[in-house]
Amino acid sequence: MNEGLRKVVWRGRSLPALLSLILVAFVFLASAAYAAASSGNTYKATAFSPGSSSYTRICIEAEVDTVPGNYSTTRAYYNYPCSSSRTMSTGYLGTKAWGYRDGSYCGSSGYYYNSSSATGYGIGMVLCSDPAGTQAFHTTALGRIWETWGPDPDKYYYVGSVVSPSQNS
Amino acid sequence: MTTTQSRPRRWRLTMVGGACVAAGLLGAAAGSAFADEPHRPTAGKFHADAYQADGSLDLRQVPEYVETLDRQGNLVGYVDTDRMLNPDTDPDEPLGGYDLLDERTWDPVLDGDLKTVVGHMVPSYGFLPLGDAPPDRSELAQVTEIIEKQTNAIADE
Repeated sequence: MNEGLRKVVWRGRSLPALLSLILVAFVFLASAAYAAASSGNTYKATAFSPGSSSYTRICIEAEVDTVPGNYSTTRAYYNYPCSSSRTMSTGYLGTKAWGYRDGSYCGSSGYYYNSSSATGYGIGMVLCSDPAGTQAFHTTALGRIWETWGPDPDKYYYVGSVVSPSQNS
Repeated sequence: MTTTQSRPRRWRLTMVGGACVAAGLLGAAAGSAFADEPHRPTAGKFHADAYQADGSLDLRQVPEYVETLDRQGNLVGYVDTDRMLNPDTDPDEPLGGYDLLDERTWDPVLDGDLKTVVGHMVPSYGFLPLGDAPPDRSELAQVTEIIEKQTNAIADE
């Protein structure tokens, strides 16, 4: 029943890094207001796109389900908090999932992008093996959008990430 | 009388002062030695508490190099956590992104010395030992893609 954004303080020195930091701070502050929207093994985060004039909000979900499946979804909305969907052109929505088992890194999906116009784009895959016994699995999901506005347009921007709660097996 | 009493006192003061100077010099030397000691990066697993209840990742509970598993679950080495998770280290990609088999998207996997590259983590595939041929596209993990289209959605510009 919670959601939020990874608290990141990277050593970025560029403007995009600064924008990311601002986004992180915003999403972290906004997370409490949006907490009721999450359920089960899914976490969500909300962020503005970097080009403020486009007014696109992005919601990102991380989920670990059907052990040890890893799911990552990026959704675009016109408003906050993410209720009025926005259609994005082909390739504009990117998502990536990392998988962990008992704190070890199993691998990532790499970035996948929507192959047709969409309001949301998600992927799911099995990144970790599931040997006998009990393991704790987590997924980190990261959202990316192609931004056509702002000081440095026409490139992908990181818009936030979330970590799923543990799924045990 | 006064002279005989003040001499030991001066001597004691001299000894204390000397000891302080010596201690200061030793401390400075020790500090210098520590300052010269190279940083030893942390390596291991993400602590269970790293996964916060609010969905964030507490980076204080995350080592600089994370234990990395192959597709069978065997420990194969360590990946630089910052490089892995920090979006600023991702390459700028053209619209639609790089192919997953493009080496620019791979993360190096290091041996226990945290210097020697033993392989790479290939997206949607996993660990590829150094020297092995890149995986065939058919070997990539099976992906379930979900494209959502809301009929009442507002179109982008």
